[in-house]
This record gives sequence, structure tokens and C-alpha cells, in this order.
Amino acid sequence: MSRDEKLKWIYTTIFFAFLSVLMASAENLIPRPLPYLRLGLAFIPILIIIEKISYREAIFIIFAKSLTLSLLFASFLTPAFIMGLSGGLASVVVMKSLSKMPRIFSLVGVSLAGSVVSNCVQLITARVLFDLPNLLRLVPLIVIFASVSGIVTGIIALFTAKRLKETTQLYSH
Amino acid sequence: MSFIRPGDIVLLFLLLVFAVFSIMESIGEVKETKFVLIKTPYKTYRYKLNEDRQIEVEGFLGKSIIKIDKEGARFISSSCPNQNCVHEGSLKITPIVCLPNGVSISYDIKPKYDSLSR
Repeated sequence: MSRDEKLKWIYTTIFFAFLSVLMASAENLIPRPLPYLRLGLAFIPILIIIEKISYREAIFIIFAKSLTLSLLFASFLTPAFIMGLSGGLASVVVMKSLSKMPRIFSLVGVSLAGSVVSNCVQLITARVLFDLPNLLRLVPLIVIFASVSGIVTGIIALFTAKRLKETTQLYSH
Repeated sequence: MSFIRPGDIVLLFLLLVFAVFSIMESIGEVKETKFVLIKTPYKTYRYKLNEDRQIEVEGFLGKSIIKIDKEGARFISSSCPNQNCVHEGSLKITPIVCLPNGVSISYDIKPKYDSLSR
């Protein structure tokens, strides 16, 4: 990769981190029954690019997204921020690992796994942060909810990625 | 990446099987329990489910009133801003947690390997 291409790639990574923040902010406008149940729209840009980025860049995007969001909505270092960050980091590592096997998993499967992992890690973090009663019985409900939201997010990401592949140079190098 | 791959279906299937089995197990456990556990930041209370009573407990922000009767255990009022715990109704399988006030209600389920683990 030449210097120009490298620079272009850094800009692309930062742009996708920005897109992720944008989606998460938009998602905050949608009313939801419980504060921690989310559709995970912020992961659509990450899913689109996950094939192309390295582990390091994926982790960078998650950090940038969580930090920016927490500063935007004044939740820096609050439990919500820590839960979001830990869930995001765990899920992005799992998603990147699964996306290395494109013959076995499509973007829908990658998104499904990421969503379930993110939600379960958030639950564990919540258990560590607060003195909660045993939340193990919440896990099946969370798995069902996360599966639905993960599949929805995955399908959106899949179609967007397909369209991008046809129209842009993003996937060319 | 194409549309749906075999791994996706296997993954979804495994998750659903896990969820269904663990829900069935929790329902079985809950049916056998006769006690309710109320946790506050300062104390933990344990009450019988079949005796009607109204309990006032102290949380981070103030009082929470919990009622236990035929309809089950539930929050009647709470000093939290969003009142999620009151709207949640009576206790089902999962615990009711009021995060702002630090009060939670759950079924008191004995661990299966009680004598071994202690």
C-alpha cells in the first residue's frame, strides 16, 4: 500500500467511526422500553466494513464511537458508558473472527453473534458494576431479543454492503 | 459474502435451543419456590409468598413500597424518577430491579448443590 492509499484508508476508518456515532445518535431518538435494549444500528457501519479492517482498526472504531457518544450525551465513565464499551469491544472481536470465514458465515450470522455477545457481556458488566440479584435467568430472554435485533441489523448491513460493492471502490483494494 | 450461509442457521438454531431450554428450566424452578427475596442497598429481606403483606424499604433515593398478595410481589410506589419498576407489574420469572433506588425483588431459589458449594 502506498502512502496515499494508507492515508485514504485512515480517512475511511475514521469516516466509518463517524457513521457509527451518527447511527447511534439517531437510535437514541427512538423511544425504547428499557434503557439498555437497543436495536444496534450503530453496528451497521462496522458490519459493512468489518471484512476489510484489521482487529486494531475495529477496536479503534469502537473506542472512537463509545468515547464520542459518551461525550455527546454526557455519559462519560458512567455505567452505561462502561457497559457499552465492554459489550462493543467483545462483540467486535467476535465479529471480526467470524467474518474471516465468509464461506460459513454471512453478514447476518456475524451480526447475530456480535449482538448476542454484546448483550451478554453488557449483562455481565452490569452484574459486576451493581450489586444485582442473580441475573442468569435473564440470559435466555436477552438471547432471544439479541437474536432478533442482530438479524435485523445484519440484513440491513448485508443489503447496504451489496449495494456499496456495486457502486463504490471501497472493497477494491 | 452471499446472503445466508449454513453457519448462520446453525448459530441461530443453537441459540434458540439454548433459550427455550433455559426458559423451561427457570419456569420449573420458579413454580417450586415459596419465598421472595427483597434486596436493598442496606439490607436483604426474605418473605413468604403465601402471606399477604405490605413492606416499606429504604433505598438510595427514599422509600419503596412493595406488596405481596395473591397476584404476586410487586412495587406499588417507588421514589425513583422513571417508575419503571412500578410499571413492570408483578414478579414473573425474571427479577424486578429498580436501579435508581437500588431495590430489587426476586424469587428466592435455592442453589441445586447447596451443601456442596458452602
